[in-house]
Amino acid sequence: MSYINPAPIKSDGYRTPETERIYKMLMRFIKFPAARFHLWDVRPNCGYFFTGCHWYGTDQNEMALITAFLAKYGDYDEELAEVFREKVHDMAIRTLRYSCFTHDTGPEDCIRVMGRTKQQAGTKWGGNYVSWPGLRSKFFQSSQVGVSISYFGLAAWILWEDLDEETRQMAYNVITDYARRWAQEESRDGVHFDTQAEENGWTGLGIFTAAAIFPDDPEAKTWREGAIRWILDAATTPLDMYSRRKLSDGTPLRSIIDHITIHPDYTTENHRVVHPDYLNAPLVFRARMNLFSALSGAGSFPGIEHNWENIYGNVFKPCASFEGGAIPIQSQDWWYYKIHEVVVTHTASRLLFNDPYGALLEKKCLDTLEATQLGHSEGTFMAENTDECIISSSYQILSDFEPHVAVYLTIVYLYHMCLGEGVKPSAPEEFESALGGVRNYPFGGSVIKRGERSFSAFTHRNCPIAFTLPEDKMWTITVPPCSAFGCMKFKDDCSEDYALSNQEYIRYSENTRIYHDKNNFAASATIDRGLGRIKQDVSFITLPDESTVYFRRVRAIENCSLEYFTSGLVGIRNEYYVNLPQHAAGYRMLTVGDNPPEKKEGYVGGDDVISDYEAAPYVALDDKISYLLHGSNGVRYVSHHNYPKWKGIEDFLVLDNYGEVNLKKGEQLPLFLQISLPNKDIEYAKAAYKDFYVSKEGSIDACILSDRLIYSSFINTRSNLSCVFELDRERIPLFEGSASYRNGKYTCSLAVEPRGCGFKDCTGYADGGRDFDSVVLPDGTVLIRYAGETDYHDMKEGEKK
Amino acid sequence: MSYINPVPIMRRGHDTPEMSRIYAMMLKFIKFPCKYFQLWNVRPNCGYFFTGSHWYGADQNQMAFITAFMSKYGDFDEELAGITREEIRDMCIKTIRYSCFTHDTGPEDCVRVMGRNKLQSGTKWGGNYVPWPGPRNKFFQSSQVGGSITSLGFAVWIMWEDLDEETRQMAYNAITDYAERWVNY
Repeated sequence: MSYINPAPIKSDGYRTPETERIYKMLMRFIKFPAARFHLWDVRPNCGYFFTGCHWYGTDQNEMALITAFLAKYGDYDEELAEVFREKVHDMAIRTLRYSCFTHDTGPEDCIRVMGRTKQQAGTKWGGNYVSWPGLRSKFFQSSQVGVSISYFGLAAWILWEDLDEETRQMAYNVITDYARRWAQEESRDGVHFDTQAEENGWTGLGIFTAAAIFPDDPEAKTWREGAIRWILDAATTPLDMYSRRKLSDGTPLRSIIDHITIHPDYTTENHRVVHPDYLNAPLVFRARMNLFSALSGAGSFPGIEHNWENIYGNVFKPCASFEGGAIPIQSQDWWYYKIHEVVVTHTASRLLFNDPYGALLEKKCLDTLEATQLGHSEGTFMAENTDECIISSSYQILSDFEPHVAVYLTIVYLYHMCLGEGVKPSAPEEFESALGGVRNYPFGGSVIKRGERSFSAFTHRNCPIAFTLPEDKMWTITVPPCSAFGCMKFKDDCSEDYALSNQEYIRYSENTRIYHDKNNFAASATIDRGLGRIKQDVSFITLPDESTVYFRRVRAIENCSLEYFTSGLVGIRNEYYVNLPQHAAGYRMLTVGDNPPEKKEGYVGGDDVISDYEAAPYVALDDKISYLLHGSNGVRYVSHHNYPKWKGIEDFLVLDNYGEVNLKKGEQLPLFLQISLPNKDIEYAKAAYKDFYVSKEGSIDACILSDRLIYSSFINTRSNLSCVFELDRERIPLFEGSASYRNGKYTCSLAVEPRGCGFKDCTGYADGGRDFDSVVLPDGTVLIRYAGETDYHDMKEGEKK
Repeated sequence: MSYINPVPIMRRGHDTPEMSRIYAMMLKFIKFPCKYFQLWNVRPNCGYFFTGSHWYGADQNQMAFITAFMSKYGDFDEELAGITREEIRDMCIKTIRYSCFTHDTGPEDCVRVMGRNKLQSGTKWGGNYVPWPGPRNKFFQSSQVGGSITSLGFAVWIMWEDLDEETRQMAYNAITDYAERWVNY
């Protein structure tokens, strides 16, 4: 089959502040891959980057696009780049040809070199060869090539005038092969565990590449229709199946979509959790698909808006981290500084949907990428020594992913080149004001609170964790599995069903209760540990001042022996980025109790360093966050240097550390209570501790912090419950419910929902120098009777203070 | 492709109250479908129940299974059934053959009769023909034949000793066609 010429690339050629900054970033980057370029002599005029055989051909196709782009667009500055433009152009052509020859459609003897990715070395790419066993992998791996095809297609499109006949024919074969294979196939269903949002998304993108570049091909219409069907099925909820909405071209949505990939709360699961990278897939692949439309001069394809704002606005904006990435509310199994894909989603929101918040988040991402890159000698984005960062011990290192960042920046550039600067970014304060508050994701299994200068979350499914982040969010605190709840390792390892034993990874909880209003939430659950050996009751309450309270109880159902229990687990980010000293200075100052602050340096390499401390009433990390503790068994800090799998430099702080423990049936560990104070230092914590009281007895766990009562019940019925404090204060705070005060013993009784938890604000004060009984009604009326008085009287406003 | 003989059916010979009740119910039921049995003269010794073209061939294959079962198992009571056992056996073989001929693996000209189900009338069954549009329905309708294949398979297995060479080969083709199509899907 002979090739068809592509449509011309049409662009208004906008130059915006974004295109200028990105072009400089790419010029600074290019010397890194250029130093890792090799000739390939199996066919003439060929070469490859890195070790030549990454998954799905992405290494070569990303680099083909980056080099094609730098060869043809922008004001190239050879001094800044340290690589001649002609050399970049030459590498682009050679790489494109290497990809063509080693693709399934190329000559049989042309296979990829024996590089580092052992499962891909010496094979062709294109989807025919599938290295993982099993039928699910066949579709997963074959279709995933769509991502790579889109890079390849864009590179070939940009370079078309410079390609010889042979290369053009091969490029046409590569691009159209994918579209022919998948355009009329059925997209897939999947929401739990392994959503097919990602698969449907990349397949749509791969098919659309051919349709957009070769619109004159007789099959182009079939490809276009198939691509739109696949991509819209990447973001479909059950309710969409009843929808009567029409797309911009009048086509009924329901006539296209037919597979469900998103929960009704607009979350979805991949790698077993609600994972921001994969929830982003239906958006970012759609955005990338639409770039082809923009480059060909067409408007957006019909359906571009399908559930965009539902996903972006309900999850990505409220879960935005400080640098514009998404906070992984159910932990992150990749690395933390992973914002390159979501930046394209922000750009698309800005340019396609005029979203000023998208513009702000795009700016934050670009600011951060620019800052980190400027600190690296070879122009890499994520780390200085990327070869030393092992992502997967058998075949992936961080160097493999550096071109990911560059290629996504290229896409952001091309978007702005086509569509201009777009709407101005909102002010950060406006963003926080609009996005703040509580959001519950009942299907995803998390509830979050975005505070003005903090972020807190509680997850009860997939990977139950709880955490509180300060203002710079993921740059200080990370979200490892078992955050707050802790890893509980049994001596016998529960090998009969380890993966479901909730030891080092909690997969499920029971008895979940979530109470929330617009501004705060209170959540509780029971975690089964060791296949029924232990029940851990947990509750997590957010407070109006952005602090949070965590209650933990542990009771043995059977006799059991624990090897360790990292209760009160907090992940600590401890990076060094020379241009981000406020977030990543390369060390943390840890203060435990009244000890002097200790410097904890963050670096990769060497053994982990473990520091153990006696139980302390308060702990602080720099001035980023501090903690008040009750019932802690000791504090441990793990300076983490040994990374079999790198995910950024992540230390661990254990606020309630247990080594070996033997528990008899019915025994309990002492109640542990942790108050997280985001953006507060040790001095604040010390002062706050003076006004912190934990109930000594009663039917409910509770504490008084300053003038607020915080409680947690693990009782399954609605009851009137009581808590008793030893309170020696001049003024005794009064809370809704009834109370009595006798000789410094303060008993509060309140009606509590089943397994209810939450807080009550003080409605007035009684005189601490006298015994009294009081009743506070829901409307705030306070009735009080001091010792010696017969009748209750209504406390007047003046008397309350 | 020549056929392979099936393994023998291992009958455990239990006799439970449930079996007796069910067999009595089947005997009372069988006169109902038998009223609706018709001959099909496109190929020798064929026939079909009802209007001959239900979804996925389910009508014929269910009846093939039921009649095969009643021909070979249980204490048949002709008085209660209102029909002779030999008549049932004959209908069974005719129905299996109708199913075989009209399956995707049968001769091209053998399609099902123009019955009440307009979307299936005049077509073959087996999964190749899919009247509903869209890729989702392709899998839904093609794979759903599995329900019917299992009925045909049971009927053929029970009747194997009574089937001629032609019918055995066709039955083998129909049953294995489904397995080969989906096992590596």
